Amino acid sequence: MGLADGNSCKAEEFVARVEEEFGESVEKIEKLGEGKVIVYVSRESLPKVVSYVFWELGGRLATVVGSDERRLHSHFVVYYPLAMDFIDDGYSGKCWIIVASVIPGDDPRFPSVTKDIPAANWAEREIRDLLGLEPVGHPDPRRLVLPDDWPDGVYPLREEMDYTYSPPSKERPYTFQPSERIVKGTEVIELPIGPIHPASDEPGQFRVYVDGEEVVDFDYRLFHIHRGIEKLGVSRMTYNQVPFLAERICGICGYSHSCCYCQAVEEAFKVDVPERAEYIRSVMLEIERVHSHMLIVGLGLHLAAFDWGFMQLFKARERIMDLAEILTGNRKTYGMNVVGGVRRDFIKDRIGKAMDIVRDVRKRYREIVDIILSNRSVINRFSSIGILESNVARSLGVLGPTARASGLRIDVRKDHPYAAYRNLPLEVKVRDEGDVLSRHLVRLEEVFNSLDMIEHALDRLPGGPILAEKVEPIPHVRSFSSIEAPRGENFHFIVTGMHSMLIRWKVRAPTYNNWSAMPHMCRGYTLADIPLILTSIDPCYSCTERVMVVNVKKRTRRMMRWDELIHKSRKLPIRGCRS
Amino acid sequence: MSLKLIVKSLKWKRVTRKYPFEQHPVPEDFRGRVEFLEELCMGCGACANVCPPNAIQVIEEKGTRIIKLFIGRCIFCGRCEENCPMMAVKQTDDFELSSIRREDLEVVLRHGLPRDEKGHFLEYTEREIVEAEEVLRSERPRELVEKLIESSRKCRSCRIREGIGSIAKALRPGGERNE
Repeated sequence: MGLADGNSCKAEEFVARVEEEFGESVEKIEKLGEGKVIVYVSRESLPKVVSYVFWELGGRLATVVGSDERRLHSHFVVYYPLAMDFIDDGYSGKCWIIVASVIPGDDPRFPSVTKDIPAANWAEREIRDLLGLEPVGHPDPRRLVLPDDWPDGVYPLREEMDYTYSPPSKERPYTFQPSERIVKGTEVIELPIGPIHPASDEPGQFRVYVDGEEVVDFDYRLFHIHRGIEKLGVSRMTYNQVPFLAERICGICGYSHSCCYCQAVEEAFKVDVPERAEYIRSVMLEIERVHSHMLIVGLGLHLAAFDWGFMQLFKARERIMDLAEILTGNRKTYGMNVVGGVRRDFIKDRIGKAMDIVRDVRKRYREIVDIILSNRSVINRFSSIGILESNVARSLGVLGPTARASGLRIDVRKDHPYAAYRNLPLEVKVRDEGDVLSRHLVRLEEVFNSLDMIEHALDRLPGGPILAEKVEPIPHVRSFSSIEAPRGENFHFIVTGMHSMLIRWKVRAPTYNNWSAMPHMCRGYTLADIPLILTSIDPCYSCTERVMVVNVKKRTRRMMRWDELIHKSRKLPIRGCRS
Repeated sequence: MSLKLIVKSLKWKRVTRKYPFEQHPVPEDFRGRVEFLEELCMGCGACANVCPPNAIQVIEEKGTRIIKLFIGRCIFCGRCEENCPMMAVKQTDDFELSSIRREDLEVVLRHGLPRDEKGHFLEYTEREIVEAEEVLRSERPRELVEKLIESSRKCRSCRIREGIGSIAKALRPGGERNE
């Protein structure tokens, strides 16, 4: 992975600026790999340093990682990984600065940065839930990840908790909080959606606050199916078994999770991945992107009552699933990645078949897209709803097509190239409108580019082995990797341990960051727009949904089934409520 | 617009298959149900060592080693096939696995353990020892090899008493945790 030296130089330049600004607070500097530096600062100066890197140096906060490293040095550590994506000098020298702080085990508190950087909101609450580290000054005291009946003082990700332990439940209520935008005394109706949510891949509960048809606020309670995958991965599995668990994090973009995990471990163990394996990974990642984008645009069209487009896109998508099946032996869980490379080679006649399918799909897809885009009812329905301004997107750390549709030029494939993307004809599609239409258009365009890249990579597949000869585990190394999954950046952080096991494995999927933009996207539009806006950030979908309308003042309730709401979304193209 | 749409719809044929009344073809090297070839298996447990969901388990009973696969837990990754030193695991094309009985999803292989001359059970199967001997024969120095092969026919407590550590265990493939 011959990264240009420019990256680490740039990282050093940023570190020098941090040191210049906060000289006394910087405790230690640790280099991870090319263009990745951890800067340890004192606990008190954490918010200052993180906001300096975020706002002044142009960082993008990927997530916040809390880690119980008491086994190594009897301390907890919080990491704030910032990708330096918003610097102006083109694509050279985009690096990672990780601001970290060591937290003593007997005083588990750290100052919150959420007030300065909204992007840290969820991640800091997650650390409080799972590790029991208190983000002092965090504006939201509610639980995020743990179930409401989970007893206090039991922290699943701490080392002392066994992964099979299931504590007795303790009842406690959860309150939905509208922001202070709601003026008291107005006729605002609270509308619960859930607990099985239509448009997310996990059940979630929502409160939509409506004034007539207009949405005034939006609040959510997610993580009903938090499965404890991180804990399972570090408790029971060896590093080479985890890719198969990582692949099952998501039903759509599983391959990018396993790929991201493998890259992180490969970097920790200093494994050289063969070039052919990198090409194969890129091909599979793009296949995944194509089928994911076709699925979500299809669903968007379905909600806008254009079922022809939905059916045709799914038909084209099925060919892509066949393609994956031919190349990997399975439609969805490809099972290709292990640490050090891939397990199954692309043999020659399968490459031929794959090329035929890609050409065929591209031709068919172009015809479908032409018809979709010439359909004015769809375009009108999608345009100028759910607008996400680019400055809001930046402060919330929004990722993937959702960010690119709001004018943020971020794409991990281009900014921090991995696998074979340096050698592929990648184009970053950016639009400025920030509405539902532009999010779908970015996806539609990306599919063409992905098909081109698949064809290009299959055509120029280099020879050689597909698996690194030797993988030598190195204990107690920190490492992380990020990948552009269909919905945005996947982020995996690991700390390796003894006996081929891991101490910490942190996973952050892109929808995690994109959800936080939902309130901003929904405010000011109508109830009928909500399904379309939800779908446009590409969460998954389940159909067993109902909606209940509650009038708080009159204490009346009306059940509204999900299909009723969809029916409304198809019937009512009212717009312009946002003044 | 709509005319174009209708023309396309008429031109593009229906693709739905009449499954299950019509067979669903699977591609070559499809990763389906896992099958053990009993006549090849030596009972080393390499498959259980690498299995990510612990679908394959090794159960030690007195005088028997049981290799048990529960397909209900299997994720069809094929790591067992890849790591089996005897090529005794095969993935088939079969994907129609639903059943109302749990036993239909269980595959059980039993390996009787041999006894040493004093009548104690060895902790390796007959085939494991034969395999280990074969590997060892090509090794040098000869006296050490002969000594190891001789000791492989004694049970663990006898061997420890004689002060010779385990040999077959070191040769057992696929065990990441044993490294």
